[in-house]
Amino acid sequence: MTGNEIAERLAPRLAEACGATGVTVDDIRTMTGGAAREAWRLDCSIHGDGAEPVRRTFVALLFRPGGQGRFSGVDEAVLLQAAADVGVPVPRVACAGEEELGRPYYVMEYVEGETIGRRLVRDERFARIRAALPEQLGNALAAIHRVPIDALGFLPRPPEGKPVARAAIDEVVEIYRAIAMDPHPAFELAIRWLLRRVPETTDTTLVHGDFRIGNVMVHEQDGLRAVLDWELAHVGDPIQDLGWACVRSWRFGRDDLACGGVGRREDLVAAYEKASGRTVDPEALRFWEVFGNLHWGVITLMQVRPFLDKTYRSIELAGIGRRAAETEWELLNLIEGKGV
Amino acid sequence: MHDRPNIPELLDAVQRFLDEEVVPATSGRKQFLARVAANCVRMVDRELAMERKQFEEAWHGMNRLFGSESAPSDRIERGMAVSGRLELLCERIQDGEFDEDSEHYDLILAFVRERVREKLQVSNPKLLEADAKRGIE
Repeated sequence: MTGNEIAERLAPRLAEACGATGVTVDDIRTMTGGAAREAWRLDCSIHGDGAEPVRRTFVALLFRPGGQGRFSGVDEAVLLQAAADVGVPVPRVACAGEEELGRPYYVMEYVEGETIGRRLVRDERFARIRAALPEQLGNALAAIHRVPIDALGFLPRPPEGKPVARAAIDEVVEIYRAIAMDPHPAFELAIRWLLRRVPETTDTTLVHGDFRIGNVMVHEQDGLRAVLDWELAHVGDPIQDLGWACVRSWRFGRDDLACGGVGRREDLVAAYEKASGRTVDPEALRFWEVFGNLHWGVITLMQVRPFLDKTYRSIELAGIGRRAAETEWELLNLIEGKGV
Repeated sequence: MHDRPNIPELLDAVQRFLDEEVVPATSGRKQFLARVAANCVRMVDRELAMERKQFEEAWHGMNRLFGSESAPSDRIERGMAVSGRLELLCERIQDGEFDEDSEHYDLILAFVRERVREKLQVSNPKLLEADAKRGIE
């Protein structure tokens, strides 16, 4: 579907959502084109009664029909709304549906800022706001973990009969065994380490699943503006999100700052504890950080498979192929207690 | 057998072309992919330079821990032989034979660390340098 066709079909829905007499899409262009979802930017004029039109920018996310995700794009819009309702900074959803485009979609307000981790961690223009980010991230996570999950029936839930963390290990190990082309003794050691330390959590909440620098929109003046990329959301152990935020692969060279290269692990934990009222057990956090590094390593092995199977022979995928070693190294550091 | 340029020289030419001509002439996604491509070429160069030494060290390490075996002479067979022995190690770790309370845990950890170090020497030596500065070797 072309940009013009998308614009034409979404304009009436946007007009309805804005309570406007009409919406003109002045410009539409593609932002990113992934296999599972496409993002389009729409610059619009919102027409009211008589007065000058108001200019607003939206982002439309279009999902592959049928979808590969664990829940649909329309469900994701419901999730964003539920998150907004308890104060999680997220883009405001304007409308969602499927019929208009023949595939699930939702449209949200465009949020200005930076998502690219390398710039957030290194650029001088973010130096001032970096100091505030760990607290903002901790507050946002506490809000995410307050989202009521009973009405969100589409979220994947842990199986009954075993601890949540054990189910998470089993899921990642199953994927690893199915897709790995080479032996990874460091992963095997990490799996044994994890199996001996499964936290007995009964406290389950919404888990964002991919909460990290790189998936948050940050503005150089006021910092965290929106938490993005909700497609891995599920019900689980809230500490999983804190561990994932500290995985080494998103420190962008600032390895001394475990919280996404912008702050110390302790800063994130302190802010989270204060905002959530929970006490974070350091052992559980370590468990989930090790789990996160293993999970990310397995994801890199998954990402290179289409290249190895010759179904998608991009140089980008080839380049990912040998990144698993970085997570193996970090796993050894963590289980030996080396480094931060 | 072949005339110059030799393999490292050819790789160097490709890498320079990508870094010095393609990267400055492109932007956005194309530029990013050109950087990835140049990095892949550097990886091949490092792997070829270190291949023999890394194989010998891995093989000796495995002989010390798991008993002596003679090494194949063919390059491809060598790679497969190392993988095969590492597969066996993986199975033994899965079976719990090298858990933290086992006698050989520290030796296995050190051995595995060396093998991962070898991979990073090829794929991302900067990460090793950064960790060495933090006292992690």
